[in-house]
Amino acid sequence: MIQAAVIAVNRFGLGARPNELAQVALDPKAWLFKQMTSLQFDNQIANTTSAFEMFSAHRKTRTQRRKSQAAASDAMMENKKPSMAAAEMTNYGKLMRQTQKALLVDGFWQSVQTSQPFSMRLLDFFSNHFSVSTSTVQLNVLGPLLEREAIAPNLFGQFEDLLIAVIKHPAMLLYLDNPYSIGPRSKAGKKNNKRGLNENLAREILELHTLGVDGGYSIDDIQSLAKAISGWSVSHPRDAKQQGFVYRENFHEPGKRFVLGKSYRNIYGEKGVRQGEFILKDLARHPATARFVSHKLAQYFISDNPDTALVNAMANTWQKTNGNLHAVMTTLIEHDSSWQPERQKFKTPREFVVSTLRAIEAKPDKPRYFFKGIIYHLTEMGQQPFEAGSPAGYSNHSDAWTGSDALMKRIDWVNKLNAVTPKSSTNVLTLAEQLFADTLSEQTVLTIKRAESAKQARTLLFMSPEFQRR
Amino acid sequence: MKRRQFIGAIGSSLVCWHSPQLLAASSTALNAGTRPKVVWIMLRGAMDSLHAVLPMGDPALLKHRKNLVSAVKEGMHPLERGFALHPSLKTFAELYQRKELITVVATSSGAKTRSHFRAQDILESGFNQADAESGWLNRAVDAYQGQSLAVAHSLPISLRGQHASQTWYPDKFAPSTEDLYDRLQGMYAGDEQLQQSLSMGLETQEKLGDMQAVKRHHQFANLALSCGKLMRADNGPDCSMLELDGWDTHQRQANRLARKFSELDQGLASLRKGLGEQWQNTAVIIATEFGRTVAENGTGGTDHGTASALFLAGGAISGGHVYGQWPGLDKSRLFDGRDLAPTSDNREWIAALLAQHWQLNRQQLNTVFPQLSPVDINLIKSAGV
Repeated sequence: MIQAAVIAVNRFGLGARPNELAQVALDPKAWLFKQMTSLQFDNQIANTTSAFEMFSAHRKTRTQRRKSQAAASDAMMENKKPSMAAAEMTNYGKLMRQTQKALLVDGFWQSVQTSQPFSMRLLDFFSNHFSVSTSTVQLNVLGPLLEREAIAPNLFGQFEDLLIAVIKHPAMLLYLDNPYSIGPRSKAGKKNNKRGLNENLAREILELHTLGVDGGYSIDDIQSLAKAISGWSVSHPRDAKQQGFVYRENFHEPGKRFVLGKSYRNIYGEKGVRQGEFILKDLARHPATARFVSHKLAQYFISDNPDTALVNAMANTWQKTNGNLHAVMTTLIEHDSSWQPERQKFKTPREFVVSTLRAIEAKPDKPRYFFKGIIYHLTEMGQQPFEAGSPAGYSNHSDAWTGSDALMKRIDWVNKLNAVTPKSSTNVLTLAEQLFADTLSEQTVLTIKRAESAKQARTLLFMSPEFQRR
Repeated sequence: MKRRQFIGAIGSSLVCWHSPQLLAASSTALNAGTRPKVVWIMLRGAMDSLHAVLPMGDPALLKHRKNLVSAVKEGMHPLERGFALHPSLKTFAELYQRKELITVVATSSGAKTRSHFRAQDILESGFNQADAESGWLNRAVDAYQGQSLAVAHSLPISLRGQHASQTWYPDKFAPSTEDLYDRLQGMYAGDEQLQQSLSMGLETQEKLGDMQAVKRHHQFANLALSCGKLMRADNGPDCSMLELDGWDTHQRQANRLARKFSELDQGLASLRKGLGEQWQNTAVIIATEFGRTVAENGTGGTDHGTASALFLAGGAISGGHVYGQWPGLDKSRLFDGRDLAPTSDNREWIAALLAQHWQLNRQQLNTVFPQLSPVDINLIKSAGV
């Protein structure tokens, strides 16, 4: 059971905290099942409403500034003080970046402390599956909120609910240019025929979020979906009543839609949003989606080349339950090929850093300062949060992380960490046993034993193949 | 010839002291008063003392380590009693000439273990058993009612305890030592991918013109320089601690130790430079957790041993001597048949230094190093005056 416990905490979780293993060993699978509830985050740091309030406050000052600019230039002529506009602009950008840092730091801290590391890993998976990057100032804050507001509450429910929540979140709509996608025959489209549809979001839904690139969809399906979700937009910063998602009927392309051979009727008025929702629901339940996402999940948790039987079992469950994630994850946990002793995955930088901090039970004096440093190091190791730079997200494959420079950066980081963290009273060999029981290779144990100092021994433990892989 | 080089060295250092910047600094130093200062430099990983202070007068030396001795036969610095310093230890040799360096041979740290971790903890705590919450320097500076500084990210055991100590470290990456890379390569023997990535990473570093190696090499010197400057400032600390790791030389030690000794040597030179006039009031203590085997092993290195050497340096030191009874390297004289036998305990020497330099009394010394008697030798210039 202790070997299974080592697998449970590392392969499915974020690494053991000292003294955790014995408890997990009582029943490793039960330990995982118990965690399968949605995650909750502190929405006081920021939420969609507060983010949009920040945007509109910024808009107001910008408008005022523009108004006063004329006056200011007159004033300049008379040798008076210039306007403070430039300073206000920087302050806004700074505020947004600070809020982003606060969200990232909080997310990181939660990962280190969590008693639901398995759920946290699934959150990381979907956050990357629905990857958004910071392409505008607004997305600094909205990106991390997508994870908290749309993904975390839907982790173990129906995939369709997760999908719809994500696609309707302002972060995704803005990142993939949907707010100003206007149906050519919509009211707005007829008025101004220079503006039109934007297929970006529809294309990525089919290619990356649901069916997968080989999922058997056509260019017509992309266009149909784009028309169905035209009008899915975000509130205007001037609008004080609503913040976040809005459905703009006057942008929406009227008419029937055909997607993957199925027809979806036209819905008039406010309820027109449901046409897109019905399509997303069917996409979420589609066999191609079941296969694509199951494979990706198995690849993420178990192996770069997961066992076909495992993927099939997960996809079957998916279809039987219409994409119930709790059931799909249960199949993953129950399957034998998920528990092979060989460590087939190389930890991502985030997994590596979080598991190290869990192992040493990091309690930094200045958590904000400390985790800002961590974000810098993640960037150095090649995984800056919310900066994958592509809607495909960071690679799901180990090869992406085993490069030589990234490895050297890991060594440097552990070295630095060991220098700044007070030496724990726990002997390193004891810690090694607490984390890995008797699963460490003789070579690793011997190397740690022979280290020239306790600090070096810790560095060796965290850089050992067993700690780097899971 | 040697003497001329020596005079030249003094000349250049005088030029250095008269540069305007340092003149300003030295006038501050005068204001800082003349409180006696202590610098504790801990060498982690077990320095091979037989390669630092070579007992050339012992006929058995060549029997045990012919290759290692032949690697340094050019440019050794002779000391009294048939000993000689490794060629890289140039500043040490200069200080010896100026009677500012004492070498104590065949000392132990009191640790009866060949485990690095435990022996280092014991060396730092100063007790016979390791106590991670109380260090000897902390107890000493507490008795002296002075201030202390650890040049480290986190407080080392030596300075842990009742007395509050400052820590200071520049906010940069801690260096990944050559030694660590060697060990990682060994550990990755069964993991082709990691091994390959590491080799490639190291190759790239080398291609970068050894820049990082140079930087690492200078890091200790820079820390020592800053440490000296901090100590000479008004209200600067009365004692400080520096650490230098990378001494666990199981393989190919001749080249590695040549670099390590020069790193240590430059550190001592920088410390002196940083201290300026305060060097005259300073006693530097340099020690390691244990020594290494007398015989060289099959991979050009040495393994964990017992007795090592202790260095006391500084303007306050009454030096120019090699102290410590020499046990001899004849097979029959070796400890456990393999190690240099200890003939004294580091702590007896450090206790004497604290008594003479900081005027700690018997009772106070007993809290620093319980049940140990200080040696009865003048280590400090003004001692007994």
